[in-house]
Amino acid sequence: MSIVRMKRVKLLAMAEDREKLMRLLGRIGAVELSETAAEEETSQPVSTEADGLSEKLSAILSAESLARKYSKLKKGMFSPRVQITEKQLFSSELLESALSEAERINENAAELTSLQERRSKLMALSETFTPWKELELPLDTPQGKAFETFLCTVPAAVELPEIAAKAVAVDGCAEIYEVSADRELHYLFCVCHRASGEAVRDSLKELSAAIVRFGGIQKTAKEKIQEISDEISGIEKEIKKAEEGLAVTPEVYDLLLSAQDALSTSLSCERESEKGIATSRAFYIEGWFPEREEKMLAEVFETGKVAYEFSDPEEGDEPPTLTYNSRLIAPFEVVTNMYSAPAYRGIDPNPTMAPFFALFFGIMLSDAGYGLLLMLAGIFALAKLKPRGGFRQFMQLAIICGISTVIWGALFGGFFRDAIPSVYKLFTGKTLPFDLALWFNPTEDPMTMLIFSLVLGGVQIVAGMAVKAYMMIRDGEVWAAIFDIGFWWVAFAGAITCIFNSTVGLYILGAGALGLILTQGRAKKNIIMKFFSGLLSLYDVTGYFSDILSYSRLLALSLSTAVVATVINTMGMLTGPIGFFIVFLIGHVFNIAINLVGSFVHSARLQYVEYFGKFYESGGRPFAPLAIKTKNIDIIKEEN
Amino acid sequence: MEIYGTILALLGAALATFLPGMGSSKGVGIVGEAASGVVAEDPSKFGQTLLLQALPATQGIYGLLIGFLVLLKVGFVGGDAQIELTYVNGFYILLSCLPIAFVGYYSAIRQGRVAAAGIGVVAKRPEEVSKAMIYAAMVETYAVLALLVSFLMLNGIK
Repeated sequence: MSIVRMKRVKLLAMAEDREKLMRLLGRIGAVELSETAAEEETSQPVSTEADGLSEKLSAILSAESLARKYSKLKKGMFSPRVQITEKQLFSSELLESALSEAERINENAAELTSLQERRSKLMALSETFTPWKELELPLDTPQGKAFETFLCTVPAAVELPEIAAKAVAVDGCAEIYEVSADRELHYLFCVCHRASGEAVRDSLKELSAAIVRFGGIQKTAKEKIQEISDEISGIEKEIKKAEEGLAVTPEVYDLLLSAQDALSTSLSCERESEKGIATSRAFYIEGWFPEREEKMLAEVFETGKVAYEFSDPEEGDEPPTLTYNSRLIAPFEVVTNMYSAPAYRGIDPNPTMAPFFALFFGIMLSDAGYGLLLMLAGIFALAKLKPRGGFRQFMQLAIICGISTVIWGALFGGFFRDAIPSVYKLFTGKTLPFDLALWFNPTEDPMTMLIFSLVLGGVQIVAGMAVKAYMMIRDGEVWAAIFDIGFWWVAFAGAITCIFNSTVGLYILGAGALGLILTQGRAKKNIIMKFFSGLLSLYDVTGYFSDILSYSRLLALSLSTAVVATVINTMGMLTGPIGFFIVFLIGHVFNIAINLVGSFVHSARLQYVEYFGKFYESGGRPFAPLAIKTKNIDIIKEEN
Repeated sequence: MEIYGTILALLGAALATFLPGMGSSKGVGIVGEAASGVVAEDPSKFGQTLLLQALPATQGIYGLLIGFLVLLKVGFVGGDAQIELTYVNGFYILLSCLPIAFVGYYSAIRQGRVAAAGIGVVAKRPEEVSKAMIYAAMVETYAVLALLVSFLMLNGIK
C-alpha cells in the first residue's frame, strides 16, 4: 500500500553472454536498466545487432500486413491469441521459417506491383488504338506510287465539311473519311496525291490538325486491341496467382505474428543493452529493482554466469517509482499517473484518493442504469479482450466506478432517470405509486444535495490535510504539523460549531485563528514580520473556501445528467410507445457519452487540484522494467 | 399581465438555450478544425481528439437544461404551469436564466480554445491527453457554477 523501496543492481557478464543476460532480465521483468556512464577509456559503447533486427522486423511487419490483406482470415478482436512457449518463440527455426515466408510474401508483392504496372501501361496503350477501331486498314496506312494516305485528328469544334473543303482546296482529289469522333476530336483518314501530300497536311494543320503516325504497325487497330487485351488477360492470370501467393494459411499468419513479437522483444532487449558499457570481453550494466525481488534475483543470478552486486539508493540517486496497492486500489493508479507518478521519496496517494474518486464519479453520473451499463461494459471488455497494462486497469476502474454509480443511482432514484415511472405512465396512464429514491431526489431537493456536496468536499479537504500532517510527523516535524494543520482544524471545528452554538463556536474559531497568527510567521526573523505574516496566513481561508465551493460541481453535474435524461424521457413520452423506444435509445446513448467524459474529467480534477494540492509530491518517474511484452501472442509456461 | 409574465419567462428560456448553444457551437467548431489537421496525419488519434472536442459541448447542454426547466415551470411541456405567471415571476425567471446564458456563452468559446490547443498535445504527446482535458475542464468550472446559480434561482421561484 505504498511506494515500493528500490535497490540498485550492478551486473557484469562475459560479452558473449550479453544477449542471454538481457533475455533473462526480460523474462524476469523486474529490473529497470539505467544509462551507465563510461568512466574509463578502456570501456566502449555496446555494439549490438539492433539494426539487423529492426530490418528483419520491418520485413516481417510488411509481410504480415500484406498477408492480412490478401488472405481470408477469420481473426477479429475477440479471437484468442496464439499460445506458445518462450523456447519456441525465440527458437531460430521459428525465426528462419517466418523470415523465409516473409521473403516469399514480399517477393510476391514486388512481383504483383510490377505486374500491376505492366497492366496499366498496356491499358493506356490500348486506349490510344480505340478511336481507330473502325478503320479496316493497317495502322501504318498503305502508300501507293501516285497517292498517299495518312491519319490525323482535328478538334471537334471544326465541322467535317469544312475540313474536307480545306483539303480539296489544295488537292482536288483529296478525300477525308471520319473513322470516329468523340467530344474533343475527329479521327480522320485522308487520301490524296503523293505530290500534294505535304501541302494538304500543311493546310489541315491550319485547322489545328495533328498527324498521327503508327510507324511499322501492320495490323488493324481492332487486331491490335485484341492482342493487347489477350496480353492483359494473361497478366491478370498472373496477378491472381501472385495474389494467391500472398494469401497464407492461418498457421503461417500466426507464425508471422509470433516472429514479429520475438523480433520486437529481441530488438528492445538489444536497444536496452545499449545503455550498458563493454570492453572487448566483458559487458557491464546497472539498473533498479524493487527490494522485495532481491531474493529471487539473487537466486537467478547465482545460477547464471554473471557477477552481481546489490546496493541501496544513495543520496542524490533518483530511483524510479513503483506503487504497490491491493487489487481494489490498483486501478486508480491510472488516474494518479495521468497527473504524475509520485516522487520516490514522497507518498502514494492512491489508497486515500481511490474512495473519493469512485464516490464522486458515482455522484456525478448518479444513474443506476448508466452505472449498470458501464459496469457490464467493463466486465465484457475484461472477459473478452483480456487486455493488459493500462487498458486493463481502465476497465477495472470502469467496473468499480460503475458499481459506485449504481449505488448512487439507487439512493437518488435514477434508473435512466425517470424511465420506470414514465413507462408505467405510458402504459397505465397512472403515476407510479411509490418513490424510487432510497434517500432523496436531488432534482427535487437541490439544497440538501448542495450541502451534501460541500460536506463531502470538506471531508476530502480535511483528509488531504491529514495526509500532509502524517507526512510532516513522519519526517519528525511534529510541531509543524500541529501549527500548520492542527490550528486550521481548530478553526474549522469552531466554524462548524457556530452552526449549533455561535458563542462557543466563535471562541473555538478565535483560538484557532490566534494559534495561526502566533505560529505562521515563525520563519521570519523580525517580530513585527512574524506578526504580519501570521495575520496574513488567515487569508488562506479564501483558498479553503473556494476549494470547498468547487465541490458544488457534484450537484451541478449530477443535475445535468438527471435533467437531460428527464428531457429525453419526456420527449419520448410525447411520441408514443414506439417513438419512446427510439428517442430513449438515441438520447441515452448520447447522454451517457457526454456525462461519462464529464464525470471522469471532473472527478479527476477534484483529486488533482483540490486534493493533491494539499499534500502530493509529484514528479516521480514510473518504474519501467525491461520485460518481454508480446503484442500478439501469449507466452505459456514451459512443460517439463 | 399574465401574457407579459409568459413572454419574459420564454425570453429567459430562449436566452439560456441559444447563447450557450452558440458558444458551444463555436467552441466545438474550433476544436474540430484543429483536430482535423491532426487526424489527417494520423487517423488513429480520432478517439482522443473527439474526447477533447466533446468538452466545450457541455455548456450548450447546461443551457438546454435550464431552458427545459423553465418550459417545465411555465407549463409548455409536461402538464400545467408550476407557478403563477405574473409579470414579477416572469421577470424572476428571466433573471435566473442570465448566469448560464452569459457564462455559458463565454466559457464555451474559451474552453474551445484551450481544448484546441490541447489538440497540439495529442499530436505530439498523445499519452498526455488527460492533462489537456484537465486544462479544458478548469475553464468549465465557471459554467458549472453559473449553472448551479441559475438552477438555484429558478428552483427558488415559487
